[in-house]
Amino acid sequence: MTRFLLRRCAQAIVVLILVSVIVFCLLHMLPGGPARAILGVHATPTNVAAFNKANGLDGSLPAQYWHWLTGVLSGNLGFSYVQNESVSALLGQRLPKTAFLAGISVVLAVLIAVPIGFFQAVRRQRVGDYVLTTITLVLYSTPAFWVAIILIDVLAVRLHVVPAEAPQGSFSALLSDPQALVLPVLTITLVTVAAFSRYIRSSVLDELAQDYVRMARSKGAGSRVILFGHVLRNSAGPVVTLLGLSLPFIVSGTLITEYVFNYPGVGLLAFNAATSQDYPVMLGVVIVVAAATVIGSLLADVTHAVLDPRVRSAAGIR
Amino acid sequence: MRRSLRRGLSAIAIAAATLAAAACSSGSGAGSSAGGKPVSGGTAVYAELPGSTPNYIFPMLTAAYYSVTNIEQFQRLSFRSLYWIGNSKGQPVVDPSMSLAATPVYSDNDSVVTITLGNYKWSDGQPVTTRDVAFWINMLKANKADFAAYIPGEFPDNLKSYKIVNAKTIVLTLNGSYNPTWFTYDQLSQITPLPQQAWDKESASGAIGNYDETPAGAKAVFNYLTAQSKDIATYGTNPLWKTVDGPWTLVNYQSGGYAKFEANENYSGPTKPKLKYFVEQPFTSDTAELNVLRSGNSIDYGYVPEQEASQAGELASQGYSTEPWQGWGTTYFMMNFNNPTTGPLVNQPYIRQAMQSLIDEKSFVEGPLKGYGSTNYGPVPSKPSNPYSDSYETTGPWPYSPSTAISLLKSHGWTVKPNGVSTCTDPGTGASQCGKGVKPGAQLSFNLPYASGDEVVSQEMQALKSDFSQAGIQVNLSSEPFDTIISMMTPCTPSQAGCSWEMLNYGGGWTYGVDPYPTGDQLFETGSGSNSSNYSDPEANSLISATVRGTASLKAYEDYLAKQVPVLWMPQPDYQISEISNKLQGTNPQSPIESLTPENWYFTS
Repeated sequence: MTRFLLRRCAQAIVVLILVSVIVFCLLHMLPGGPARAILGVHATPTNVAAFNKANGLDGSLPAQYWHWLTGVLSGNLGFSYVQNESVSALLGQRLPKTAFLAGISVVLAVLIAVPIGFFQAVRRQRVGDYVLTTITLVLYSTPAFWVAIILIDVLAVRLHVVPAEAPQGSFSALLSDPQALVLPVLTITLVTVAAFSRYIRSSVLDELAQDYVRMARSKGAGSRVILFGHVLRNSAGPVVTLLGLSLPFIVSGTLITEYVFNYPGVGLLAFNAATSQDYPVMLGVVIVVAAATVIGSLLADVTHAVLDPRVRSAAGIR
Repeated sequence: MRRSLRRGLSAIAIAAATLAAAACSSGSGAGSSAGGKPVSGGTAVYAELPGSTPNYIFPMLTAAYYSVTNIEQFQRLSFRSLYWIGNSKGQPVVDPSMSLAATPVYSDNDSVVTITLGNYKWSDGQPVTTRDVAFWINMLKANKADFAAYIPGEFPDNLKSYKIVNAKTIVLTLNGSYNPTWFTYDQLSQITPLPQQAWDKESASGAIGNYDETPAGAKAVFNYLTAQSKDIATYGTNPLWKTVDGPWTLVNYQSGGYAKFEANENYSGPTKPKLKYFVEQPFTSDTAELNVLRSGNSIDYGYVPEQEASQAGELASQGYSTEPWQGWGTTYFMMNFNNPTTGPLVNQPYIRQAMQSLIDEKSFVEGPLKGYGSTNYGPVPSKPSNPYSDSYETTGPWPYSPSTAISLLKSHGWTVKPNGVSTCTDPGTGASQCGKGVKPGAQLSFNLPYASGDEVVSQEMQALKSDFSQAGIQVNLSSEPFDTIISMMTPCTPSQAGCSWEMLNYGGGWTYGVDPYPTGDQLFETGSGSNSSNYSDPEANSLISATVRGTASLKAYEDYLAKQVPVLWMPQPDYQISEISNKLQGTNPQSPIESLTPENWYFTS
């Protein structure tokens, strides 16, 4: 197991370095550069040159990358002139908010999607399955921003049941205004439920066709025992993997949701950074999301291996 | 909406009397549907424009933080300038009643300025004195390269010396004679007296001293205050920012631009705040803000995005009134006078005049701008109402007239080919020939990249292409990212690689914020820092100089520039289509330089 973990960690580091190099190069290929974006349209060439020098932007690309990388390794992700704050502080403020939004939404999605997926698999090709398939397919094929707009129009503008804007201010402010969280959470939950339930349905159907299920049935095991004693655990493995690998999808979903609902999370931070050429923040967000994705994937693999002996065996883990 | 009543019966009585007076005297309000009784206290929420969030509190700010949002909509709430621009009629002129000092007195052939302060106090009870003015000047002299508004040759370079006569009077001796209006508006209005008794120190634990009186000390103080201003997490709690002479004190600031101000109970200015709190609320996008407006009343002072202007009237059902906010600026797009190929063409005034005659500004205002803008034919805006623009410039020497454009070209040796490309068939420098540098067979064809992402600009450019073709002027449009456009916008010489652009439209122009007296010296004088189109005209230089260093009015300058067309003037869009709750009154007029004065606002029951 230790060897497996070390191998996966090494892979993760290589992935992170590659991601940072690619993003760093792509960002610096953008026209204009950060000085113009920050100093404005009427900045003189002297202003731009002074800014570049003061911020180490006048060196070669490799030198700039090395400067940034050594800073990151020492915990310094850089400083955002657009936000007038260190990137670490910005991420420190925004990450918990996004994690909170995504966490609640994913937990809700799993709690809803698992029973739906099971129900559909067990009742496959019956009325209930068809109805739920239709609903989930509609939600699955609807972009998150569209779901958000419909929810706002119906629940906030027409019915005035909940606010159209997410809670503002500190993290504690989020908790003090739960009504304002309803629409952003609902948007992500609906989109995620659709994806998860389709996957769970397929996973459970696969398991129901396995030999061990037929064996259990032939030995007289009841449906309840088969489903919850055997199928649930075995079909949970792919679901755990799905959860780990869906992190980028969830983050991109929160970006759109945060944008629409004015939710002050990492997604919004990334969006604003992209529109204002806030290089340090963009790099910081990409690195953090990439790290979270790699770690999520790693955790999913390990959990899958723990849950499923076949995976341990295939990976040579003892 | 979060509101609270001010404590104390006497305070309520005084406030009620003040409110009644304000309501009677100005009659300013959000909309005609407003009624009800003025109430004291409450919290007004103002929606910030996307991407325009405040993030710097120290008034002597560097270029990276230099913005209308930081200066006029954040710092000015707490730290007032020596001379306040924007009067009760919404004109971009000094308002003596809102200024910290009386109208300056110029003497010795306008080379000596005597400034007398009014009876203002800091929130800690100390008077605002000339020492506080000197504190600003000393800090600026030692750190001018770091101050965003610094222009070489201007303040404080043009200040020979100053002398504090007493706590209320300070005398500035200049290095020459200057136009008093220009000097007051464009130089003195930038001075923001700073609380020397609270800020003149080199570290948080250091003692207050007179460190600013030496260059090294002034640098140390500047560095300390700058570092404090970069610690935005402490904005709401740092004692430094609690010593204010404005009507508002920042009590809560969140990363991202959320700012909550509390009324300064010790404010000594003419209009005491009636509200208890004023909140600036950031928004991710126009859409998010509009959704909130449509869903109810959690915003008291918001806006309708330009592209959604048609929704303005619909918000009336939610209790909002639409109030267009006209900014003090001029909109245009540029031609590169130094481009090796097209430079000789645009250096001919008649070609520029022909192009200006093909811009149908009125239809742009009615069409893409949906009525929320005004025609603009020169460097001095005709709106908002102001004492500078004259009828010649306002009506425009080159209003939309394709026949005039065709006539101008034909009379200068061009064979005009409508819907094709006109060609120079009579080269030479004679009065009826194409002009200096224009080669035989030269064609009126220009590449015109414009900033993407703005629907109005895109519509205007498409219409312009069509209008230009009527006189055989071909523009090859391309939509480019904003950053690509502004990266090209640098002064250049013909031999430089970066001088290959022919025309550019970044979708904006010039806002007369820190230079409210619109002399255009930064835009159109030869070699000036923001003269990105490389325009150079000795007559224009002379006229500009007369408005800055002489006593000439703006008339000759503005009429000449309107006629010469150094840039292609475009309609001036409104700064914002404000949507103001009918319960919030006192919001009009909206400041021409886009500052906020919530001390004038109050709710009605």
